[in-house]
Amino acid sequence: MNLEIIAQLTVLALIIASGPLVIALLAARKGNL
Amino acid sequence: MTIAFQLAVFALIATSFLLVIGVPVVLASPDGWSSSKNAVFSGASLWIGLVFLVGILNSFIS
Repeated sequence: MNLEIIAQLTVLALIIASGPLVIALLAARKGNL
Repeated sequence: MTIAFQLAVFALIATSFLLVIGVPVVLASPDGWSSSKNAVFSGASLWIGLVFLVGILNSFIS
């Protein structure tokens, strides 16, 4: 088990998820989409 | 000194991530800017300070 690969994939997942997360947060707060 | 540099880099990355999420949410939220203006300015100030801190600490590690 290579921990470095796991950490890199975790950070990559956080970065990729940040875009849709903004959309979801704005939709939940009924923001100006 | 290396641990301080590493902590500063981690803080810079964490602050950047929070700002990337938080700033567009605040700007597009109804009545968000007027209620969260201070938080955005504080986050931006902290980010700028961390950039210079990382740059300065970088000079003290091998």
